[in-house]
Parts: sequence; C-alpha cells; structure tokens
Amino acid sequence: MPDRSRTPPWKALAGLTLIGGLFLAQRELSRLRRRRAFPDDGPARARAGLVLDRPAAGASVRVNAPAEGLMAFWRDPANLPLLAGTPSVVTSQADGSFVWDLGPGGGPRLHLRRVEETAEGAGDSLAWESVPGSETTAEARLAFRPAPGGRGTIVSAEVRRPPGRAAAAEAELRRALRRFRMLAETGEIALAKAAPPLAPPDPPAWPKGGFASDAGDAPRPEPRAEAETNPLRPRRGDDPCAP
Amino acid sequence: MRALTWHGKHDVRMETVPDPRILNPRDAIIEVTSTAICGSDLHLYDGVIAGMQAGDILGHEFMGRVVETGRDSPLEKGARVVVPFTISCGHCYFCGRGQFAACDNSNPVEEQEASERLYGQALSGLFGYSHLTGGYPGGQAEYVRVPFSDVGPIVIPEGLEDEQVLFLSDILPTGWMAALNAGIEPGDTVAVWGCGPVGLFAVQSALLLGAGRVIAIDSYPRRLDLARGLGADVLDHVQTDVYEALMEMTGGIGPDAVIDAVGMESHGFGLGAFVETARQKTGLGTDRGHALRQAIRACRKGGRLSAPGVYGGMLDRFPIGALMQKGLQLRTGQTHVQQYMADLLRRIEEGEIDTTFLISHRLPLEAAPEGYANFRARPNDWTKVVLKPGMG
Repeated sequence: MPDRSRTPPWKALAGLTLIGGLFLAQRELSRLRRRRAFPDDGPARARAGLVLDRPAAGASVRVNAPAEGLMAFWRDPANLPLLAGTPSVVTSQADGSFVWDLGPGGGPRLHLRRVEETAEGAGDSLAWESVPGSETTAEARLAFRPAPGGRGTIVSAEVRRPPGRAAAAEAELRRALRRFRMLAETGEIALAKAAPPLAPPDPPAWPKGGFASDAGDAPRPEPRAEAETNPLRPRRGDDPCAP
Repeated sequence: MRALTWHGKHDVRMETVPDPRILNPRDAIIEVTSTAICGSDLHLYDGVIAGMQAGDILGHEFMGRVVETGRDSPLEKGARVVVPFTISCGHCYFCGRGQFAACDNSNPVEEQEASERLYGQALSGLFGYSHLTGGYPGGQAEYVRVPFSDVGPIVIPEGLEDEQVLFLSDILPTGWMAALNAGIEPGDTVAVWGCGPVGLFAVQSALLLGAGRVIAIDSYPRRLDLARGLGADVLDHVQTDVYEALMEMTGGIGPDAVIDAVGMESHGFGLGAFVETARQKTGLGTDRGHALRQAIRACRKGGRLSAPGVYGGMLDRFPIGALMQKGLQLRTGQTHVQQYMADLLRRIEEGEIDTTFLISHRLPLEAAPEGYANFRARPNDWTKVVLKPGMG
C-alpha cells in the first residue's frame, strides 16, 4: 500500500514555485507603489525590476566640449555612419531627406528625415524619423545638456527600432557615442588593429577651445596648435599614414 | 618583424609577425632599441590576468627610435624616445587632470565592455597588457605602433644611455607615484612590501621625498641587499615576524605609511595563504592579498596605504575594519606616467636618480622566453631583465 503521508516531489516543486512567484509579484507590486508614491530622479531606462513600459533604447556619454559644435556635427547626415560602427553610405535626397544604406549584412536601407522639434528644450536636441516607404523604421533623438560644473556636455541618444532590435540597438548606441566622444575629443577613433574606416566626414567648423572646458591643475602635455586639435580633422580621402 | 607572443600560462614564444603600420593621424612607429620584462608581465606569464588572447605581443617597457610618423605626430624621424606604458589621448576629462592612466579614449570601443563589466567603467589602453586594456601590441618586439604619439613619448637627449632612461616607461614613475601616494612627510617611517623593481624604486623615491627611515620587506637576499644599498633597513619575512618587527622598530606605533609593491601574487605561510594560492591556481579565486593585509595591519592609526602592486579581481578577507577603524587613507592605481616623466628625466640627467643598479641581466630579444622563465623561477638573482633587439 502506497505511503500517502509523503508529499509527491512535483507538489513540493509546484508549492515552492508558487511561493517564489508570489514573493516576486509582491516585490514588483511594492516597487510599482513606491514609484507612484515617490517618483525619484533616476532616468526611466535605469528602472529596477520588471518594467513593462521600458522606453526606447538609449545611452549617454559626457563629452569634454561645448554642445554647439557637437550638434553641428550631427546635423550633417554624412556623419551618421559613425553610429553604425561599420562602413556605410548616406545619400542625400532632393527633398532634404536622406537614405542610409548599411551595406551588405547591415540590414534594410533606412530612409530618414530630420524632424524639427517644437517641444520645450528642442533647441538642445536633434531628431530623425523614417519616412513612409522606408524599408525599415526608426526614430532617433540626440539631446545635448551642459554637464554640471562646466564639465562639457552630456549627450544622450534614444533610438526606437522595430521589436527585437532594442537590445542590440542599446549596445550599438553605447559604442557609437563612445566613438563620437573619441572623435570629438581627440580627432581620431582608437584602434588596436587595422579596421575599415567609418568614412569620417568633411568637418563643420569646430568651436575653438572646445577641449579646455574642464582642464585641471595637473601638468598637461604641450598644447597642440588649433588645427591639430580639431577633432574632425580626419577628412574623407585623407591618408592618416601620410607624414 | 620578430616579437614575443603569449600563448598561455608559461608559454611565450618568439615569432615572426606582421610589421606594425600607422593607423591614425597621431600614431608613430618606433624601432625598439631596449625593452624590459616587468614584474607585472609575470602576472600575464602566470595566466592570472583576464583578457589575454593567443598571439598577443607582450611588453610595456620599451624605448627606441622613431621610424615613421602619422600626419599629426609631432615626433621627428630618428628621435630617440621612451614610451609610457599608459596610452593616453591628452584631451579627455581624465588626461586634463593629469590622470593619464584613466584616459577615456585610448581603449578601443570594442574592447571596453569587458573591463566595464568587471570594474564599472572601462579601463584606458595599455601596451601589451591584455584585451581589458585594449589589446594593443606591446614593445617586446622589433617595432611598435605608438598611438597618441604627441602625448606619450618623451624625447631623450643624446648622451644618456638606454639603460639610464628605459625605466621611465613604467617602473621608475610607478615607484615614484607609489611614494607620492604614500603622502610622505619629512621624518616619516615608511615600510615597503616587495623589493622587486617597483618596490626598490619606491624605496629610493621615499628617501628622496624625505622619509626618515624606510623599511623594506622581502625574502630574497639579493633584492634585500639592493634595498639596503639604497639606504633602507630590511626585513626578511621568512626569518622575522614582520608585524612584530615593525611594531618594535616604531616604538609600538606602526609605520606612518605603508607601500604594497607586491600585488596579487603575494606569498604567505599560513593556512589562509595556502588556501588563497590553491584558489588562484585552480581558477576559483583571482588575487592573493597576504602583503596587503599585513600592510594594513601594521600601518599606524591615521596612516597612509599606497598600493602600486597590481590586483585584478576580487580579494577575500580584506581587512576593511582595520582600514576604517584606524582611519587609514588608501591610494592606488595604474601610474599616470606622463605626469612624472619630465621631472624624473631631469633628476636622472642631474644624477639624482640612478636606475641601472637593479639590472641583473641583458639578453637579446630572441632570448626573451628564457628571460621570462628565469625571472619567474630565480627571483633572487634575476632582478631585472633588459632585452635588446639585434644584440649579438
């Protein structure tokens, strides 16, 4: 005769799962209540726990330069390949929009246009959206805020892509912003080995003294001439190997 | 070209590899005339640093002549330069503060994520020191590509031999910064754990900065002799209980400042040290902290701890209670080499600092694997190995 006094293992497992589930649900509920009762100043992308309304993929980087020149850089569509991290081609159209061809393996062609934002604070941001008929859809926004203490500019990027691309988009964005910081602060993108160029563009004018915003008291290398410090110095067709 | 490449634990080989070439406008190519094996290279040799890949070119202490320059490099072909092991852009927030070893722009974007996951922020680029710091080919080679050549390399005047200035690339400024980080005040008693090259330069620097007494701790007689030659009192931790000795020698107060120039492969004799070593060797742990714990315990209340020794991961039984309760100050980090090079070069030129006393062996570059094996196995006699490409 079977021993009915012992609980079957599957029942024990189900019980534990139920208890665990209830615990997690209670914790999420508690977080939700806390968020409603006392919303903190943390960015929406940094919310802890289960977030059903997670915002668009995004990343931020602090650049040791004023916003003006940084925005000028991104107003030129030819600079967008820097976001992709792989060589790609942007072609301007007659209506002011442009087509971004990510090349073989890069995915469908993206037909974008700049959006003139009218909301408050729009003067410190740039936005793009895909036009009807584009092979894929995307929305992107770059915001430029002065960092506290005059320590350069915090550049934040947000991108909305079709479902399934969000995680990859966030990692790509982080890398893209770091490449941008390298280019803006040093004039080049660090390489440990040879890599295909990202088609650096013809540069707009760069604000003089853009790098001096937070220099400390520590000894620094001899300053370079203005022409040498221009972070957009690499020009299409230029050969960095040329002496 | 010929270069020393890493292939795994205790497996380094001289191989023929592609020559470096200019990749960015501020690059330069250096033909190496002298390079050295650093104590921290032994951490790579022992396989305890993460992020190494088979075929990586080792070496972060090197100097040579400029043979090629990018469009924006201010160096002239033929110039003789010493290259800092830290790769620094010169323009980011950190370089602007002289924190060159924290440069935000020298570690390639693709390599940044690993160290960001480990440490919270990405590390800067270093030559020949794993892909956590960029995967840059190192200087134990005939030629090296030097990024940001307008920020790093210092031009050496003719008349100074390679061996007088080679160590400006790392260990001399590292010992110097270790002493500065110890906040030495005139008359201080300073204890230095480890009489490897960095420890010896820390001893020398501490005395130059006004320490009243320096006590050097190691177990190898030749290394202790070198420290004694610099003016230090010495303790052999095999024959003497270091804590008891330091208390006795300081009247029960403890040293004013302590310097851990040992790092993640320190030796100890207790059961705890045995377990820590076993965990490191089996991959269950990363760092051994015997010297660091001893230094914290011995340091006087309100004293300063400087840690130039390399640590890579996690440390168990870290005496945070002693650190807090005694009010110790802790300073550490990779060396901001560019900040100190010019001052130290001047001191060498004026004869205030001699760097050649610790060199025990000079070998052709082709004998680098032998140099590593002996530097690891015979630390008493092999105190510093200089490698010379083309040496007969």
